[in-house]
Formats: sequence, C-alpha cells, structure tokens
Amino acid sequence: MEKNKFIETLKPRIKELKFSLYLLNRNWLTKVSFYIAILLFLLAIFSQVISPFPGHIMDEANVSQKLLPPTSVNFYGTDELGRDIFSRVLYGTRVSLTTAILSVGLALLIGVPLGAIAGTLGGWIDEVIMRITDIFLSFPPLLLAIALVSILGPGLENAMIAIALSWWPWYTRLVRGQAISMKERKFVQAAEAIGTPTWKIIFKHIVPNTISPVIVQASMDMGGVILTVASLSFLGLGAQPPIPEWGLMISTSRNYFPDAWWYSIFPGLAIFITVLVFNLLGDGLREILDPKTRKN
Amino acid sequence: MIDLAYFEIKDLKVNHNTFEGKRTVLDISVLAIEKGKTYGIVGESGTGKTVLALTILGLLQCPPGEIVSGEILLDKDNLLTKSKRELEKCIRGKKISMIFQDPMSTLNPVYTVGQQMTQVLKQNKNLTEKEAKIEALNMIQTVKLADPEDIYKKYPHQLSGGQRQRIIIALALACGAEFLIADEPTRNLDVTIQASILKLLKELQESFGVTVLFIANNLSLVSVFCDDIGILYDGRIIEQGPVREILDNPKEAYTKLLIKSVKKQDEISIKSKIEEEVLLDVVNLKKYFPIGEGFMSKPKAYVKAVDDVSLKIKKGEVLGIVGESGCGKSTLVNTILHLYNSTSGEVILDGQNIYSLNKKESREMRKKIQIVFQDPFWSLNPRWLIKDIIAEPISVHEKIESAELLNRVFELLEMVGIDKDAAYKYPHEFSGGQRQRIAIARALAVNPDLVVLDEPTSSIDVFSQTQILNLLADLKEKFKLTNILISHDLGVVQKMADNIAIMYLGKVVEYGNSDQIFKEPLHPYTKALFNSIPTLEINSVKELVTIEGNVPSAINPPDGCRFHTRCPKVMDRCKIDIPEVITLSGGHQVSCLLYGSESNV
Repeated sequence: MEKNKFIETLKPRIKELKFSLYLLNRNWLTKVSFYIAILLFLLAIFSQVISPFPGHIMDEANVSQKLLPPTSVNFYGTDELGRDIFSRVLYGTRVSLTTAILSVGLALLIGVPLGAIAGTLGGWIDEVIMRITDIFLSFPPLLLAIALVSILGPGLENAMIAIALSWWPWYTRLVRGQAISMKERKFVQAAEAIGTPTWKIIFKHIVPNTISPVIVQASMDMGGVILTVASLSFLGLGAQPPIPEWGLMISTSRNYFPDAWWYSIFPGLAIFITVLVFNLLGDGLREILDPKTRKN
Repeated sequence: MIDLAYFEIKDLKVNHNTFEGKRTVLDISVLAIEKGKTYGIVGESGTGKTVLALTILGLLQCPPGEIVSGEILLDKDNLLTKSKRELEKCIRGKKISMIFQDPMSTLNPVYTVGQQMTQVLKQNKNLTEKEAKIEALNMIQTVKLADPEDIYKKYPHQLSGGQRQRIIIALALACGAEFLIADEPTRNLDVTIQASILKLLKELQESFGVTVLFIANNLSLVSVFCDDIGILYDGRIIEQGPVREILDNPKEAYTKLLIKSVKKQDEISIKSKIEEEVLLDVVNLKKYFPIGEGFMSKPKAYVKAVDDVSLKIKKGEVLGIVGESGCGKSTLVNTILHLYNSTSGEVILDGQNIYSLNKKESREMRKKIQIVFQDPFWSLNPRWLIKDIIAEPISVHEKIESAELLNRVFELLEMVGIDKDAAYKYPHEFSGGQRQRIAIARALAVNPDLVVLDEPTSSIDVFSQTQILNLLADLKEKFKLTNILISHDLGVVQKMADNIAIMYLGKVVEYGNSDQIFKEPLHPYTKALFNSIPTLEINSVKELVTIEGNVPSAINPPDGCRFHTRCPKVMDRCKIDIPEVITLSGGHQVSCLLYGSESNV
C-alpha cells in the first residue's frame, strides 16, 4: 500500500516533467542543443570505447604516420606524432566537460552559500562579502585565472581551481539578489516565527528557492568555462601534454599551420560546437525554469 | 432595449491553448450596455475578467489566446473584424479607453506627467505643442488635482497613488473616448482614497456621458458604482441585470454566496468565552525603522511605523485590528511576533517580556505565538513537501521519530480537513483555500496560545472564505485559542472579533468592543473609514464619505493629532496638542480632542 501511495505521489512529478519536455520541444534550437548536449556527455563517458585508436589518446606515438590528412582510417588526420586526431578530440570532450563541471561546481560551492548568507543576514556581513566579490569582479576573469595559475603552477587541476576562484563572485551576486527577495516571503517569516535556526532558514528555505536562476546561469557558464580552460591550456598554463585538451592541441598545431589545417580545425570546431550548445541549452533551461521570461 | 445598446457582445468565445489542450476562458452569449450607462462585471481572479478587457481592446495575446467566434459591437461596428492598424488609429484611445489597476506601471516613469499627456494628445488629436499643453492642464484640472502647473511638471513617482490614478483617468478621457473600461481602478488604493476616486469617476462619467464597463472582484464596489451588473464565473456571465434586482433577488447559488460573503451582519455580539486573565500585554510599544542608514553611518530619519501602542488581550479573546495599508498594523504584529526587535516598550506574554528573554527562553516563547499569513501562496515554501512544511515547527521544538512525526502531520491535516495524501504534494498543487488550511495546520502544530491571523481570507475565493472562517472559529473553540485578527474587510472583523482597535499612522485611535465600534464609533477617522467603504446597502457613489488629502508620511507625522490634516472636525488645538487616550463607559477608548475631559460626551 505504501508503494501505491508512492506511485500516486509521483504522478504530479511526471506531469511536470511532461510540461518541461513540452517547453523544450517548442523551440527547435533548444531541442537540438539539448540532444547534442546529451550526445556530448555520452561521447565523453564512452570516448575510450568508441575511439578507433585508444592508445593514441595519450602518448603512444607512431611517427611514420605523422601529419596525415583526413582519411577513412584517421577521420580527422593525424598529428606530429602520428596520433589519430579523431580519437584525441573525442577524448578531449571528456577532459573539457569534466573540467567545466568541476570548475563550475566548485565556483557554485563557494558562491551560492556566500550569496545566500550575504542576502539573508544583510548588515556588515553582507557588506564584507559583497566588497570582496567586488574586488574579484574588478579583474577580467581570464587575467585573474592566469594570475592564479601562475601562483599555483600550471596543470589542469590548478586551472580548475583558478577558474572556480575567478568565477564564484557571479554566483554570489546572483544568489544574494534572489535571497533578498526570498527573505521577504512569508514562508521565511513563518519559519522565523516558529523559531527555526538561522542556518536552517538560509540553507533549507532560501537556497532551494534561488536555485533555478543559478542552474540557468551555471549551464550558460559551462560554455565560458570550457573556453577559459582551452585558453589557459593554449597558453600552456592548463592541461599539460600528453593530455588531449582542445586548447592545448590548437596551441601545438600552430607550428604545423597552414599545411596541416586539420590539426587545428577539428579541435577548434569541437570547442565551437560545445560552447554554442551550452549557450543554447542555458536559454532553453531558462525557458523551463524561469516562468517570467517564458514566451507564450 | 437591445436596439439601444451602444456596446454589445454576442456569442463571444475565447480559448486558451495550453500544453494540456484547449480551455475555454470566456464564453459570453450576450452582454449589452446602453449609452451613458455603467455596467459592472464581478468575478474572482481567474474567471476571465482581464481576458475580457483585453479582447475588447484587441490586445489579447494570440497565441496562446484564440478568439473562436462572436462579435463585439461598439456603435454597431464589429471590433473583432478590424485590422490592427484600424484599432490603433481609430479605436483605442479615441473611442475606447482603459484604466488599468496599477497606476504606477501604466505611467512611464521616465517622462513627466505633462510630457505623457501632451504626447497622447498630439498623437490622437493632431494638436500643436502649445494647444496640447493647454488641453493637458485643462484635463488635470478636470480630474480635480490642485495646482495643475505643478502636477504637469512632476514625474509619476512624485505623485501619490490617488493622484496617479487621477492622471490615468485624465489620460483615458483626454482624447474623447466614449467607452471606458475600468479594470479594478481602485485596487491598490487605500479605502479612503478609493472613495474619492470613485466619486470623481462617477462625476466625470455623468458629465462626459461616457459608457463604462467596470471590472472588479469586489461586489460591493461594483454595486455602488454601476447601473447593471453581470456575475462572471468560469468565463461565463451566469447572471445579469440591474444592480438592485440582482442584490435583492439573486437566482444562482454562486451569486447568493457572493452576496452573503460581503453582507453586513445585523447582530453584533461578543462571540468568545473571554477569561479575566490577560494573555498578551503590549505596553507603549514603539517600532521605528531607520532610513538612510549606511555602513558605519547614522540613520538620517526614522519611519515611525508603530508609535506608542498599548493593548491588552485576554485569554480567549479575538482582537481585531483595522486600518488602512501603511497604518502600521503589520509592523505591530511582526513586532509582537518578535520578528522585529522593538525600538522601545514591552510585549508581555504570560507574564514574561518577550524582548528580555535569552535565546532558549525565546525559542520556547515562539511556540506560544503563531501566525497565519494573508497570501497563501508565498506563506508555504514552494520547494517543500506539505509533510515537511507542517512538520517544521514540531521538529524545531521537539526531538521526535520520523514515523511519529508523520502521524502528527496526518492528524493535523485531518483536523483542517485536508486529505492525508496531501502530505506528499507540493503547495502549488493546492487551491488558495486549501493552502490556507495547510498554513493553519502549521500554525497549530505546536499548540500555540495566541494565533495571529493576518488577513486570513482576503486572497482566497468566496467559496473558501466562509469555510476558512468557520474552521478558524471551530479550532479556536477546540484549542482555546486567543486571536489577533488583522483585516481591512469589516465584514470579517464583524463576524470574528470581540474587541477592535482602529489604527491610523502608527497609533491606535480608537478601541472598544465590536458593539461599541460598529454601533457608535467616536473618532472622526473611524466614522470616515466606515462610511468610505462601499457596502451593499449603499445605493450610489454619492453616499460614500471621502476623507480629503493623502495619508501623511510616517517619517514626518503631523504634530498634535496625527489625523488633523484630514479630519473634517479639525480644531486649532488639534494641530498642537497630542490627544490622550480617554476611557469612556464600558471600556471604550478613544484618543481625540473632541472627547476631552472638559467636553465630555
């Protein structure tokens, strides 16, 4: 009987899901980007299985085959060590998506609680937190990330940390604004009147209600973060060889340009498509999660 | 009679396309208004009132809207067959105008009143700049605003709500529209301002010979203003006819309910078993909000939201607090709930001053006072399941196993008449009335002594209103509760309250039992307030009493008696002397210099 009840309670959830899909399906661009995003995640997960030359992903060299143009064997051609660029670009999806998710995740972990605390408590705490974010926001994010990586030392992990550290203030601002408007809601006052502890009000009442715009912002930022990771790697501050990171691949390919055009074009296209897809996806999610901006 | 109709709707059907399919939002078979008459549409939110207004103006968003069939005739001219351009050039503004409910968003905040008015006049009447200005000033004078030159130069935010609405009326009439749609024109205004706007609108309607379609959710408001009314329910006009006919002889059950919900009670009596013991004692309570306070800088001024209020509430009593918006009633309650700290004064609950308790005692105290808010949508966290919402107060105060907690939740739900299955749903899956029941269940979860009801029925439909009031009365009996009831709905106060406090600008101006307050109000403000609220007994707008002027700012309240700037019986003394609280026979208290010790009544 308990089980039946559980299914019964699921029904409205299913209806909501259907409504979300309906909103998603209304815009073909969002729909396409949604499916491409799913495809990208699948490719990232199974890249090692799919890739025709899994050994080429890292440093298995085959110098006799170097810098071959695209053929039916090497779809995207080969690089200066004779490695299959298709396999490497494919694996690059995993590298970029993982770094992007982890960086954004870390930035959220710092930014959301700080924003919620600042917005809810107000007063001098708000003042201090917001002035710190102002300081962070007064550097161009890429420059700040470069500076931070130079302090921490080059490498993918450090690049992630640096990106998170230069990205969190945006979430703090966003969440603070939301928290201020949520704080005035009666359910927060009701919780206060009951005697709910402040930390519980912040994290159980306010944060869950600020999360929709944060998800939208985060999915839009995924594109930006992938670009930043690529830029850092391009400058030699992010991923280190032999990791098949797209920015790093483009950076190396410069030496063989324009003869080996395929070497830079395919990683570049991968970056372009991924970033575009996440931007479109962000707009789509906004449509679903934010009724105010919804088109009729 | 139909031949005389100036405005007519025939077999209008409007659909709304949603992802679940088509829904008929409007289905009106006939609606006719004679020239120069006023027709009122009464309906609750969601019944299609605004859709109707937008359809007439050709402003309905299509899609999702879809006009399936029908005719809208203005002077025998079908509006639905007109092109967008025709509507813009010849109809909107020139023949039909609309007054929206929110004057702030209707006026453009970046232009002055004058700029906006002349622009409209130039566009629609082909006037030169100079002619338009003269015409605009003329119109400002017509809507009875003092000093038109001054108003002309002001931006919308510099005007009060009532002044803004007057400008909107001027704009609507400026280009000679003969048909006016007023969509809840007084919704966001104070009752005393509402009366004066209604009077103005009626006067202009008669002198300009305008035909009016008046839309509102308040039956008494419409019945006072209009010649004919139509009751809109679920997109259909279920009953229509002359106002008196409908009021005296309603046919539909819904209409009867609607009338019953706003009708004044004949019998006023003490309803509760009041004990002698005082439960809550508010002593000289003040709550000032600092403004212009910055980081390390002192505030420039204070909003004196609650200024020296003293009240006693005995066990088992229902105290009604009545006043216009901004009079400080919500601040008073929030301060009593200790959501705000007081600026000075004491609130003594059960012998303890709530502001001098330590953290632990303070949390214990919170169990004793609970609140039910006005707006049942935002009073429940939209991201929480109902079971968690109701369990929250219990789990804050007690360590209790989850199975037992769930049982308690089920009991509470059953008590307020909600099915157990609700526990696993989210607030948005319920109607306003059901959500209010859930809010009541949460308030009662920790067995409080005092429950504050902040306009408990004003945002829910009439069907639920009566049920909620009955539920509250039952629970009060069952749990021996004491209530503070805040409301601007005098009907509700009359039904529920034993004693009533009337507030104006942060002060209690009159206090007494409901018999005293309703049958022999003393303070000029109380009298004016009661007589400015439209009721079913009033036949015309002219019978409403208006209070001149605007509510003064609580930052710089007037010296002496705070009401002296608007009081019809103002004396010279009122501007200097602060009136003391005078207790008359039967505990009736009033603070007004008319009832000083020398001139006893």
